[in-house]
Amino acid sequence: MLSNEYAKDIKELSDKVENAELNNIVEVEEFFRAYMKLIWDYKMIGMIYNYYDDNVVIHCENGKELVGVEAFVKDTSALLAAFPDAKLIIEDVIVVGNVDDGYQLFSRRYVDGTNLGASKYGPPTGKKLGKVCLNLSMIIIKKIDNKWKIIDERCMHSARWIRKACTMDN
Amino acid sequence: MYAENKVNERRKAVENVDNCKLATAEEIGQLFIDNTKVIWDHKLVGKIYDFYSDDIIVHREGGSDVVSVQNVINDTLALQAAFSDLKIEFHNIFAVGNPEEGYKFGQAVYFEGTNDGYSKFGPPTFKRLTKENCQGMCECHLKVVDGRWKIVEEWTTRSADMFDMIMGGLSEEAPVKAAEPEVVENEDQEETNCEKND
Repeated sequence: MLSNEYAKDIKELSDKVENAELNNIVEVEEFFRAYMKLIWDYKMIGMIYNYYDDNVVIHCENGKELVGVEAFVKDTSALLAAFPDAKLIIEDVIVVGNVDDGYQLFSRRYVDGTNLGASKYGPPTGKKLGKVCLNLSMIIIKKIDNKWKIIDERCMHSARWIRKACTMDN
Repeated sequence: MYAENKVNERRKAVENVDNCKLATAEEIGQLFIDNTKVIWDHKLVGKIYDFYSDDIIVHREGGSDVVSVQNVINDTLALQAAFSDLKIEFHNIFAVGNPEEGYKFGQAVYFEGTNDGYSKFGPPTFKRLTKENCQGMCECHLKVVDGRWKIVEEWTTRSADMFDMIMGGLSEEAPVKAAEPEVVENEDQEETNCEKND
């Protein structure tokens, strides 16, 4: 049964993410892949609070900025409501840094999904993103009060492509 | 004096690019900061041939890929003609790899410039791209091809809606007002840190 498989996968990924020690760049990449799968594929949006700092700033394209963890949770929730079958396909991860100074991580991803829910652009269109919704992200992870936190992110979501998928053709 | 200063600055950047040995991942960052300056700030568009392979694929959002070095050059020329004062400022760049297997790097930049020339959307609007409204990011893969270091593949995104709006190709009345920075702040937190990077 698919739901049982998903529940099992979520439990395993959650255990990995909750107990991540990030001792080296290999562990950081493994953590990141698990963390993104939980949030995007399995819609575990609340996991954002685990690792995104209260005061994180997410710099996006076209001048959009999300200031603070609640803003990021709200934005992610809106996007996943619009694309409830969204999957994040991570093609590549680049990590530099170390356990003492923290890490910088760059990732190249694609978001696939169908506009099945309402968005700020209007009612659902049923259009698919397809494997052309390029998503690039650069994050900084540092220890704050002895806990690993994502303190800054630069992210490009292919906003224009998402807008087109959420907009009815005239 | 202005032109002379520009030439002197350019020569230093070109020298850095031409003399870089690409021996370590740490060198890659400064190399491509200088290379970007040479091509974009100093408009030596032909230097694209140094590092882009003939059959380069530049993947972009929405499948609007740019294929082949000549199309990279055409695209660069068009953007420089539309924004004669265009500058690309780096927020960050870092690389991994080695001389044997090649390198890959990720970067985050800002575009700043004025639409003071014709573009695919028509006459100049004289509106400006700024650090606040025009972020860009990319990942590049570098390998030795026929004895020379080449970017063999690239994935890049710019603030596409902002570019289109500044050039007059997207109405400010569009569903998303791309001109207005969208800042969604925490409502429940007592303190918010609105400090912007740089």
